[in-house]
Amino acid sequence: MKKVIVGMSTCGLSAGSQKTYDRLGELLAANPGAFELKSAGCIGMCYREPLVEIRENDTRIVYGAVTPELAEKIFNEHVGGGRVLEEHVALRIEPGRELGGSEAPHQKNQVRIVLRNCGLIDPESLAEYEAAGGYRALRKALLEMKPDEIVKVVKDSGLRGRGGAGFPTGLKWSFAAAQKSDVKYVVCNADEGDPGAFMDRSVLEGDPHSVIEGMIVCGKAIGAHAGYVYCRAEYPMAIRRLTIALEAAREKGHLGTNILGSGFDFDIKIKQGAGAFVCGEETALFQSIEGKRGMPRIRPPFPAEKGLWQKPTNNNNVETYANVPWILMNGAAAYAAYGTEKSRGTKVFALAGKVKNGGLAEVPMGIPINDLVFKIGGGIKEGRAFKAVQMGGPSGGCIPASLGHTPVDFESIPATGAIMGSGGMVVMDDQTCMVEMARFFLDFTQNESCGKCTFCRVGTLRMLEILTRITQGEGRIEDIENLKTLGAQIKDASLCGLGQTAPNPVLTTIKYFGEEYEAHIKDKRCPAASCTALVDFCIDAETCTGCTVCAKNCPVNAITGERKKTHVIDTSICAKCGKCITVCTFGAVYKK
Amino acid sequence: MENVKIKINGREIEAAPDKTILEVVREHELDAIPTLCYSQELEPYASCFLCVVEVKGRANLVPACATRVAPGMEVTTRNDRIIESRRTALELLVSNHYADCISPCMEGCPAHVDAQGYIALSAMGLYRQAVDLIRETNPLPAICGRVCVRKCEVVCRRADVDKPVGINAIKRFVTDQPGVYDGTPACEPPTGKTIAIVGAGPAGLTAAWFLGRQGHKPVMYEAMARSGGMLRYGIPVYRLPDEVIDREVEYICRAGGEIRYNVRVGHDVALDELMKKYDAVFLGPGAWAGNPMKVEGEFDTDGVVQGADFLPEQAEKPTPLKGTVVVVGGGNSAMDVARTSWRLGADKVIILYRRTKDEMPADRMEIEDCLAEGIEIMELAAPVGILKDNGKLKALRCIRMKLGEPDGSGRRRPIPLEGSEFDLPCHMAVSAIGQATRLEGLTKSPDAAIGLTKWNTFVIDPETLTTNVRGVFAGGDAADDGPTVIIDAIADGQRAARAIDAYVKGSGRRPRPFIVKKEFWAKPGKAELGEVKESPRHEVHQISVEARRGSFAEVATGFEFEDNTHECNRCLSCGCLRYDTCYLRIYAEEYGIDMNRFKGHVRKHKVDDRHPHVVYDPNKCILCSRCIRTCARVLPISALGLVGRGFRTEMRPALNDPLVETSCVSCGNCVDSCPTGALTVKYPFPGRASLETDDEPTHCAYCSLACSVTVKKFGDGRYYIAPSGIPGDYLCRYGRFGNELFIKRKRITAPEIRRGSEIQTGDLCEAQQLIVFGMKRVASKYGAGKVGVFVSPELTNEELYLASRIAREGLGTSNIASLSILGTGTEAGALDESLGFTASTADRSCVDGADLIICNNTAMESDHLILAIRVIQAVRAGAKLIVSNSTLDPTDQILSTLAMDPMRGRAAILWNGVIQVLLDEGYFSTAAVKKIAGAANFLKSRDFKLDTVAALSGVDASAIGKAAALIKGARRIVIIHSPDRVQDQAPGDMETLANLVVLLRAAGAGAELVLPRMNANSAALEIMGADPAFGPGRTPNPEGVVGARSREELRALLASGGIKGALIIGEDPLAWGQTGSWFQNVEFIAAMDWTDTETTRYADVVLPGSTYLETAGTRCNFEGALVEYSKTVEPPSGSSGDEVLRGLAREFGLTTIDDTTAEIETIVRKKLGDLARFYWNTGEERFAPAAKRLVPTGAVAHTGSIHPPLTHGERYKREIREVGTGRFRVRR
Repeated sequence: MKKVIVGMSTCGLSAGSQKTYDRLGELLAANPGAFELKSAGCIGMCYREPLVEIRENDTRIVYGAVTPELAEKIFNEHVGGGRVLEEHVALRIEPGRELGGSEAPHQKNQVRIVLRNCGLIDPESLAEYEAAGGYRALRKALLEMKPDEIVKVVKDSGLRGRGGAGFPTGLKWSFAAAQKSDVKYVVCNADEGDPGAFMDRSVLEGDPHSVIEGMIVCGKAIGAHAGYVYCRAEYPMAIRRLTIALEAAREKGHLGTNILGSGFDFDIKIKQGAGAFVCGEETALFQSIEGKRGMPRIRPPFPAEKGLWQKPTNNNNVETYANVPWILMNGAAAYAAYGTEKSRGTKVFALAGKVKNGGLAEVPMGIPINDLVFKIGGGIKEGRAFKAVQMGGPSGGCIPASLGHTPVDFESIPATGAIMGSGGMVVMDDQTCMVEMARFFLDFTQNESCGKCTFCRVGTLRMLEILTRITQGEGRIEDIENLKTLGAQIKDASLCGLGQTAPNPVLTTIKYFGEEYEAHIKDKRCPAASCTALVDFCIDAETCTGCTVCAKNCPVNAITGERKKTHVIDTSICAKCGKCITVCTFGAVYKK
Repeated sequence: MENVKIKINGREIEAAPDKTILEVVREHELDAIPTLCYSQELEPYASCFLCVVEVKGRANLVPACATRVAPGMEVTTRNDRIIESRRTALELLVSNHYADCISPCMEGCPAHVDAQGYIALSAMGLYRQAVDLIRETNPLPAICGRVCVRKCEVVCRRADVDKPVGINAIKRFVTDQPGVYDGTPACEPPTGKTIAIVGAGPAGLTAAWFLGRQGHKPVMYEAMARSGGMLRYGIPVYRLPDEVIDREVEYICRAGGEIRYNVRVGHDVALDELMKKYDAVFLGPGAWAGNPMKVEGEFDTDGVVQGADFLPEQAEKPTPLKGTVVVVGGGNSAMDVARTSWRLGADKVIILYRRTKDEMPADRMEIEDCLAEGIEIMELAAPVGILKDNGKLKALRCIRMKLGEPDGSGRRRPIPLEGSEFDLPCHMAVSAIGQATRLEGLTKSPDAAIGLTKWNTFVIDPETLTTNVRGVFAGGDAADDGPTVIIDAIADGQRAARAIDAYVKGSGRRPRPFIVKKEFWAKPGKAELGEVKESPRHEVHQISVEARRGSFAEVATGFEFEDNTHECNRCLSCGCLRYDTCYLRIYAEEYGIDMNRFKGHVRKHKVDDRHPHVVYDPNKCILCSRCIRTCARVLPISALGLVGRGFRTEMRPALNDPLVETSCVSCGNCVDSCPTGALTVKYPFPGRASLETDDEPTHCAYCSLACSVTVKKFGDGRYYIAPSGIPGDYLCRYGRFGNELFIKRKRITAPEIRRGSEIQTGDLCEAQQLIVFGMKRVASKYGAGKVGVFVSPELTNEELYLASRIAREGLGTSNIASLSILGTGTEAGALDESLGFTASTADRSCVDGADLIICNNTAMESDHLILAIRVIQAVRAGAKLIVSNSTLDPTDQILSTLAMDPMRGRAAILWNGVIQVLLDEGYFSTAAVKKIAGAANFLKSRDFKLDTVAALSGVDASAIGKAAALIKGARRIVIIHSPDRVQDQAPGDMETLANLVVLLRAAGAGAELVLPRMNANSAALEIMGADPAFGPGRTPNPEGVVGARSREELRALLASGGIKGALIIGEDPLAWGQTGSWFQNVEFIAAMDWTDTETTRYADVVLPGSTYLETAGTRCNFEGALVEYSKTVEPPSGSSGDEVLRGLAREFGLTTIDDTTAEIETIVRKKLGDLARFYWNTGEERFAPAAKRLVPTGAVAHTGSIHPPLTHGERYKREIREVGTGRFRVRR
């Protein structure tokens, strides 16, 4: 029987997959036994959601942008008639054949280790996870391996923390394992807070058991019996699926006392975060779990020594744990075969911004940024010019298109002034103002600073004030130097990663796009024509048809012109609201 | 752990591995690292980032306060990068510090006179201190108090509400008070340097004052016959009487200055000569020439005179006038000339002014006084010619003016109206349109001429007042921008003295004082002031206009007392109370920060002053969290926390409630932790300012913990209490704020004697004699066994000792005790059998190392917060806590492992049950137990069955089992029990706990019994002889002494109404029904107290007592340590309690009472041993005899405790709780 699988992660649901699913449900009700209806997590092609897969034997045909109407058509023609609607096929996966479908060129360069099950299995079904090879690593770790052997495999795999800092995971585990304490903790950081990043959410929504399995293995490796998943409350679906997965695992005996008869006890609790970005910083995260205000403290002592409730703690992020079962089953060498010498394995990226194919991509470490943007991301929307990528969210930095050849790994990216980060990659085109972009991220970090350190609390605001001033055309010559000095001082004298990296977007944009700052300050001009205070709205005489729509819609009556003749905007009246651009159907209004 | 070797600034240092870089640097005094968030008694926090240092190999700077040393570490504590980072941190902090370091009035005054400070002192009634404070910046307070132009009032924030505070009138008021000109000002030792001062006017006098106080010898050369310069010769005496100037000058000269009159420098003595003879010269000759009207004939017409000549002449020798006088000008001098002319008899006085009244530079008040005195002001007219008759003035030809565009001064320019000339007939015309200098002979020096401006004034450096000639300084009207006002001359004199002092000593410039003011961002509006009620401004009183005609009597008579109080209360106290001790300001000054660098958005908050004791100004908070962390250390539930994120982060009380509505216990420790002025205490009297205090250490006498305190005194009777300043020393609300009742409550300041139905104040000696007579009369009537002496357990050892001897030797009775202790039923000597003495077995430090703490009948947090802090710390470090109490403080609820609530009076049963369980389980091995005397008996008669105990005590058997299990699991146990607390008192409870201690020790566990007492000196009552059984030093009653032989007997005697005469010291038994009934049949009561009570109201004779701050002496704290108390505050009656009692003893015929100290020393040494502690010194451990052991049967009912007669401690405690929050509530 054919299986019809609907992508029901947050990305799918926001694209309307619930309606599609419901329509299919109605069809199934009307035609009992016609097919099997299932849901799955995100397969990564968020830009083509809602996705509907028709699976028969080993052949999987994934349709993109499936509306309820299209769903009905697919049911009628493909499910019922066996006729594939080729024009709607996003992906065709058949054993022994090359990847097909419209998205094949973007998908074929990916290597799916973390996302191995995402979009393929029903995340709410333990059976499907197990059918896909799940919990075999746990069995192996608990029944066949000693803790130090587990640590060794993880060390040998070269896996580095996927939260951003890239600390070798095996080494971290060995520190916690070396601590002598009755009580230790395994913490999973699922407080994914970077704007534009959704890797962890997708894993938790699409394959929660892989994270649970990784955590239990870690517990065995370091000698912990309790784990916490610290997940932001803004991820209700992730929390729901994780909760279901935990219950199922507990019921099956994968969690709790004497797991798989090994004599090893381990259980996991979920702690919901209340939306403070800084709680992604591990010491603040521990405080938050303890019920206190999430504020970082100085390290050392490191968590391996004194972490949660002053006990030895191992903290990794979602993606890191999700890698662990695969490594245990496939061996350290298999994992290490991917990536570069110092950055092994794969990395999941969330492509966002002006890129055509926004979504998740898992690629081997070391591929060039250009490949991510063009080969996988499909290039820039509307065919505009690629300007830069912002990596690592507000803590990260900006890498210009001229450095597009930079390999994505833990050595090359920091060399540019940016950071690897957790995998958020915001792509910018030539219409993005880099000063405004830096201002946006700094505004975010300023609002999310915990307020503890002077430099982070007050310094970031002062930088923000300077940037705001620049974007409003009130910049002063000395501002760039002031931003650099203050930025360096903030990095220098802040307690945690938030403050230490907050100036990065500003410093890297000054480094690579200094002339754009100067244009704002000296020429009172925004080269990207983005900063409202510095642009004028104009009507192109060639394109304008004199349809009068713009003049009618202008709230301040700044547009004049006779019917069928070129219209003109009086810039002294214009309030720069942008309404004219929106309403002009000929694209005659532009900013300069 | 082994020490680590590190390098700091290139120096090899060996340090303990758990030390932070900051600690090591401080310990070895390697550098002064600044920090705001670090506190020695708190865990490292690292938020302010001032303490950053460089560690080799680390990319970032690290906070020294939180970075622990590691082997091989190389640290640099100071270089450009570090200093820049620290400076930036300070600039960022200050960029969001919307506050006034000093008040606008102080800032606005050219001489920076601390107006807020002297207003505060004046409000406190400390006039001498107020005047001395003014003299720190201005030695002419009485003069300024009369004639200053009051730049301070112009900027007064009060103007936003109604009108400025009458600052100047307050100044005059304080200088008018008696005694403020007494004595000699404090001066530095003589330096041998001499300074010549040209002119004894305001600038010269001021310079002389400060130079004299700095130890130099100033010599003023005065051209006139009298001192004061323009003060005397330019201001008429009806405004500034000569006596005021004389008084001021005389006081200034007491600082070492000398005036040589009638010597004109440049004429009688050359400037060169002064320069040779003196170490420095200050030129303050003033501006004595008038400006001409620029009208033809003004210099050769009889009747046309210069104001600058007229006023000095009239000051020398007043000459009567007649006819019409026209005064040209609109300044204060013009007003002075006009009003003087009017007083001298002129028929008509006209002031001619070319603009209108609104543009007049004269004081509003002066103009109004002119008008009141009938002087005409002719506006918009100016003289253009003189009409004369025989060389004698006939009329002034004038022209009308109109006002044009504003000129450089901002006032509208007068423009003559052509053809509007008119003649103004007059007999005299005085030109009063400004003054000019006459500097003949003052501009030449041997090397060079002294530089002059185009206005013929000296060119000076505005900061140091130096001229172009080395060693010559100039100021006042003759320098820089020419004639100004007195306060500018004073400011010049002050700055010149500072510069001259530096010059003659060869020292460098001091850093510019750093201050923040709200105006840096924007002028604050009314909204920021919060709730300020409008209150009309009081003006100085004046004599009537009728009384002024023909008289030069002073017009303004100043303020009455009520006016002063009223105006002082109108002061908004804008300046920061922590000006001198604010570390943000101090570091900002040290690092020379630039406020403009990060000028931007600033957060503005209202000040929260709703708490009865603490004021929180969030504008000044730098988010170091020291208060939050201190609060969390003191309380298990923090009353303070952080809210918001980013720049909007704020320190706020829990859930953003007002502090007064949180779990705050008003201990005030947050205030001490604040490095800025964000948290300050309210003084218990009016006035708020940053003022110097005299600090005296003593101890608190609110409970038996006897914490060290510092009495911070502003002056007579005005003080507040702060902790000792030793890191880790905290105070509770009683220790810190309890003294407020001494100020707020009515005091007994003189003996009171009842005569018939009337109470009269009397003489101390008479009152003492009446007491002797009264008591002896009753004793002879009923026998000495029917009189008694009752003493408060708060009294000093000295007072208790004297009372004991008065009872035994003066009255022949052994009836002496504390009614409080009789009332609470605390069994004196209850542990004598068990422990050897009835007291704590260890000092408070035993709590620190405990692994199990048992609190029985102890409201730790409410009654002994400072001990509770130790318990909280111990529990946080891992100790278990068992609580047995009917009410649970938050501490108990949150921290206890086991909380039990035995039925009232059954605690002994409960603990005997626990002992039983431990015996049954074999924890106390029989062999060990048997070693202890009395054990066999105990073992034989034990019948504490678990279910019986559970039923009788009301505590579940499982809880009893759990208590036993916890005890078994512990190695170091501390039992805390409050003997005086009645709520959960039970017969035999202390003995049972003592038995437990003895058994635990026998079983090899460490165990201590700590007995915190409610009253300061409860522990010393017996040893000082305040007990029927023993005299001082636990000596037996002497032969012939009759009365009760034990406290039980005395209580029975009291209960039967057997006491007929009573001397009650510091207790108030009549306030309570039961104890009150004991005194129903009494025929004579004498009482002694510091405040009026029910008892003093009924007493036949009342002696004035004193508070613990007013009596020097010793007390024994709950640990048995002898604690010294000093007399830090003068008793209002003039005598301390011990002095009064000594006098009484003398009246009773006692001798050898003069040196009680030695006697008490002997008693204490003998009994307390070398360590001055009297616990656990028998070396023998015994059980209480079987007879004293309480066997639980259902029939044994608790005898109940009566309400204690209030000692003061408890009375204040209640009242302080009422004024504080008194909530102690827990949020669930």
